[in-house]
Amino acid sequence: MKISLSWLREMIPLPPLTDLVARLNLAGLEVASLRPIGTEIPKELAPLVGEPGPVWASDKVVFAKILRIDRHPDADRLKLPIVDHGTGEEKPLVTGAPNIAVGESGQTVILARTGSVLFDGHSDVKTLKELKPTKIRGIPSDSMLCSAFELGLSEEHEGIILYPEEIKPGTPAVDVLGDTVVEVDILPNMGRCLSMLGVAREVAALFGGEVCTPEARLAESGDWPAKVTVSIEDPGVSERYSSRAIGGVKVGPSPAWLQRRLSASGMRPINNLVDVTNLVMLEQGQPLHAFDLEKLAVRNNGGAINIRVRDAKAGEILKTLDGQDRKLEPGMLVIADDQGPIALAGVMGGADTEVGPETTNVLLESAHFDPIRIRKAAQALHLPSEASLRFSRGVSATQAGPALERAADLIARLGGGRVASGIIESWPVRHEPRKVVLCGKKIRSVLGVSVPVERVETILNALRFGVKRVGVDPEGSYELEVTLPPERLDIQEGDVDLIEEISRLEGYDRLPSTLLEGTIANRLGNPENDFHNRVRDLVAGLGLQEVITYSLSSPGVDRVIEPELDATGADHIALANPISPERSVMRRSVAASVLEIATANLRQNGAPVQKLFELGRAYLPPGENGRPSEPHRLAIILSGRREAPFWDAKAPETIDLFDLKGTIEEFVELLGLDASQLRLDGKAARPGLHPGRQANIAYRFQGKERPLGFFGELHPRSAQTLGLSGPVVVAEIDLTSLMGVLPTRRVIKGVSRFPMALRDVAVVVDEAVAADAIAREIRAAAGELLGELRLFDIYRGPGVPEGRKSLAWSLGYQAMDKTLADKDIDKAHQKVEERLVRQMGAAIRGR
Amino acid sequence: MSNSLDTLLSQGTEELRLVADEASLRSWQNRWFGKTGEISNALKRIAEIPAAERREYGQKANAIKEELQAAHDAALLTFREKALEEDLKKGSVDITLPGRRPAPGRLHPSTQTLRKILGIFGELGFEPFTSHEVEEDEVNFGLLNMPPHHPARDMWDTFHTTRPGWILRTHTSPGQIHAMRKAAPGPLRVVLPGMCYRYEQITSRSEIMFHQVEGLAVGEKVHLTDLKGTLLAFIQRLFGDKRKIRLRSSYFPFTEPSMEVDMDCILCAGKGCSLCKKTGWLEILGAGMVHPTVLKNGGYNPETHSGFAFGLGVERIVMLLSGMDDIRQFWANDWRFLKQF
Repeated sequence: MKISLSWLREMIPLPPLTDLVARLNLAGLEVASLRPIGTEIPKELAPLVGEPGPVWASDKVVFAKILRIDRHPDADRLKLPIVDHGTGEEKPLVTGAPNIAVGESGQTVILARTGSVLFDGHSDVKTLKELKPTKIRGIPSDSMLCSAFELGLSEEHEGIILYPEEIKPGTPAVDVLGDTVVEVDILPNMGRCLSMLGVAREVAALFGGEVCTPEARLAESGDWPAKVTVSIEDPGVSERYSSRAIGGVKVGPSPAWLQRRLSASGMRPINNLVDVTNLVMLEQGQPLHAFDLEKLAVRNNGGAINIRVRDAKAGEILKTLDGQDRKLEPGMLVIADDQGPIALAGVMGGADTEVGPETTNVLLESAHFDPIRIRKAAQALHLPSEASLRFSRGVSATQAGPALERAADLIARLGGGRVASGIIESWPVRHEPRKVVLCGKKIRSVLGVSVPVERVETILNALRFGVKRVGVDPEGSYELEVTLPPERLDIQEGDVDLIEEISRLEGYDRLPSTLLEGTIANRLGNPENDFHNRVRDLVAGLGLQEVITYSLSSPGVDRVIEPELDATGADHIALANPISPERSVMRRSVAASVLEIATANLRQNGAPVQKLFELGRAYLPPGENGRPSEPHRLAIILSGRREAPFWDAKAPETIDLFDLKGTIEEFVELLGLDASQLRLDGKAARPGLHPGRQANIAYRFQGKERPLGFFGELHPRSAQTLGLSGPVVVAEIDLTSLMGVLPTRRVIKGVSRFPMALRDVAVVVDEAVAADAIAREIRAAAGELLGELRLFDIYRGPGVPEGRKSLAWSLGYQAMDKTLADKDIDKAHQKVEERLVRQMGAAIRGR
Repeated sequence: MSNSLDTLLSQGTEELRLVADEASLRSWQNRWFGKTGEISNALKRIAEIPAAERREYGQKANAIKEELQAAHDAALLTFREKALEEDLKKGSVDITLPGRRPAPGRLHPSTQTLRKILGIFGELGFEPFTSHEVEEDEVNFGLLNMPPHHPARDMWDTFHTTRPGWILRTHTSPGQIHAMRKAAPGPLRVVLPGMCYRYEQITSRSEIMFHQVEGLAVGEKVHLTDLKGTLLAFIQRLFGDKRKIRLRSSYFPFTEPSMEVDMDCILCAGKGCSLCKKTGWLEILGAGMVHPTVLKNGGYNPETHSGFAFGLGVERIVMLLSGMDDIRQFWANDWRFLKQF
């Protein structure tokens, strides 16, 4: 809402601009910008000024009257006007303005004297320039006649301002044309401030003062030029429709003051009829519409004009003012006569009955329409307008009357017409003034402090609430009966709405700061959140960088990891209004989004190493009617070099699957789990991964294998498609499952004080035998005495038969209670070897 | 006899003086202290000495042995010192060469700041409550006092899923309903952290996805003054104890009264700079007293219970604290960006 302060000042005395802006800001009317028109803006408000303009000094920029215009002796293009500028002296000037001519006189113009700082008329860019005495073609010149551009009024360079009304010469221009426009953002519940009157009332409540409401002094005469009836189909969506007729109107441009007000408010002046409806809307917040009554009469063949507010019928078409044919649908409210729609209620008028230069008789409409209906229609037809904005915020039916009178009065006065006797209206729904009980105790309970009853009364009265003391509650607090003014449609809840008004106008800065009383036992707890924090810390501690990626993805991205998903998004939670195909579904694979990041970093951002993790949600569609599930997953991607390159020029090592496996093992041990209880099912067959380098991960817990997730090497084909060289390894672990196998307590094994004896064994087995199986046999055979087991070599080649491999293990024997004697160790080690031979069909190398 | 011992000492000393390095010293030691060295031989010769002189001979030989050993040790020490000196001289490095850095893992800046925020609220008695991101329209809007076609719905541009009535939550506020329904009629103090989604163009100033933290306290004695005090405590803990706050009246459908909370600018402390766009204030939170309808929808009796709520954007706080000017960096996860946190 653009508020002209010169206009507002006519309705309510204004405080200094700085105070006004500060209080409006705090009271919920946030000042978005200031636009000075010839006025000076205090320095502290300068950041709010979008485009600084010239300041019209009262003693330098003044109105003047052209007495005569002489010919320049040497230049045809130049003229020498002589003006009266209020000093008694006849002032000769030099100008090249094309819109005055030698021999003319009597025009009202604006004169700038030496020292004025205005926009430089010779420059297309707006630069401020001080006017200095000079000579133009030999004739001295110390003043000039101003163009609208030089004054900062418009972009108009051509010609000087010829003001349409006579103003006493010497009158400062700023007194007549000067203004400051304050643009305020109107919150959804402040629709009443989409009017000058509403803003004036806020100012009155904040700073005191009486609001001067413009009154209509209407003189009615004569009959209606045509027979008109009005009716409302559904009073639930239109409570009132009022109309007046004005006859014998002469359509023409509006007077300067009216045009100025509209322009300051951001509306374009059109003609005196339309301008008046707009002016009254800006002034009072009630949108109005003017129909050409003649055109209505012609449409109805001279018969009765039966205006009806009704639901649009399917297939009805209305050509709106902008010349477009609008297809209407039920649910949209229309104003119709017997022939069909003539306006889209509250949104836009029809072209058929539009007022124009030829109009003489006007039918003026002032009505109430349901906010939701108007909002829906304006949205459906993409027709936001000043009228629909106001209707959709809610305009009380009581406002229709005063606005109708005010507009009829103005049209009659400005357009020279006469207002026909009587109002024709339908007003089937009338509300009793609403009343709310407000208790001092409740105010205290919400705000935390008491507000004296007198203060409450002052604030509410200023906002036009009726306040009556009705009693005292048992605790000695007051009870008030508050009558709501009809325009306060925002007050729905009752007393808390009023408490908001009180605290808003008191100012929140006056409230003390306190802390909540007492502590409460935590009843909800969030072990899941705690666990997620722990996981993040542990994984970051293992040298991985956390990323957070878009949870909006595309089926294509997920299919790199999970190619079995439907390519069109049928397996995903899909968006009905995606911003782009890349962000069209909720992801199912966290790993896939992390892979996108790793790829970007390795390929575009020059990262040598990528060790990334994300702890985020996957989004899985529900079955019938259920809630979608959003399981938290830990995704890990490792790729690139194992370490950042260093100047000692050792050959770079590439990350492989075992970096990932080791990370997972270390991670589960850090959680207090036993990595030897991880079960890797190498027969996993995820098509997105290398067929021979992947496994499902499970954990043996309470006698069962609990699935946790998977890991593996990205299928080389996918890596190639992504432009990545070298292996990319990926894991995804479901955190709910992982949380389910956490030990409730962590049992710590004792540490032996006795030395450990090392023995090696090289086990030759078939290629197909898993290392893990050998380790299990070794552990089983050595039992308690095995303090440490480490695989230190894998060998294939001379000495080992084709199709077999040799795995060399180092075994550390140790007892808790003594130093082991050689013979004990030999015995244990022999048992290990025998078991390997017996159970695994192994050969022991060197035996 | 003792004469030969006398020459032995001078001879040994003399030879030792000629020894120039540790290797020669080892040969000297072999020659003099080896199994068949001069000293062993001299000691072995004791058998040839007349019995009466043996004692004296033995003492003298041992004294010579000790003296030569001491001279050897001293020489060895000197050689070692010298060798070390040389090693040190040769071993100096260019200390301006780059260090070999461990590769630490880091947490994403949003996680770090989210934790800071939750930590402060944790100390103030608010525990975290997590909620769904794919949410019912009814919970995201309807139960929060925004029936269909409520004008306030325009404040949020919403992602709709293809399943009617299900959207991506536009704020963490629907979590209020879930939390209240769990705790009612008991008292409640929670913070709701999580990802929210808005249908917007992605620009340096706006993202389709961001973390929000919402706070909610419900009880029999929860006042607006408590909201103000809680937020002041939070802001001073996060941004420094000199910070001031300012409450401006605003509008949210789910709170009444509603307000925007500003703090004085962290760079200029209110004087006006480019960060605060010369206003001296930074908008940091939206807040208010829980609307009676929302309390009712959460299972509380608004006649006996009241509540306050507030919400803030995590990435905005990171940006304020770090001077970042492009919100797109958060989800781009460029390693050169992440490693600065």
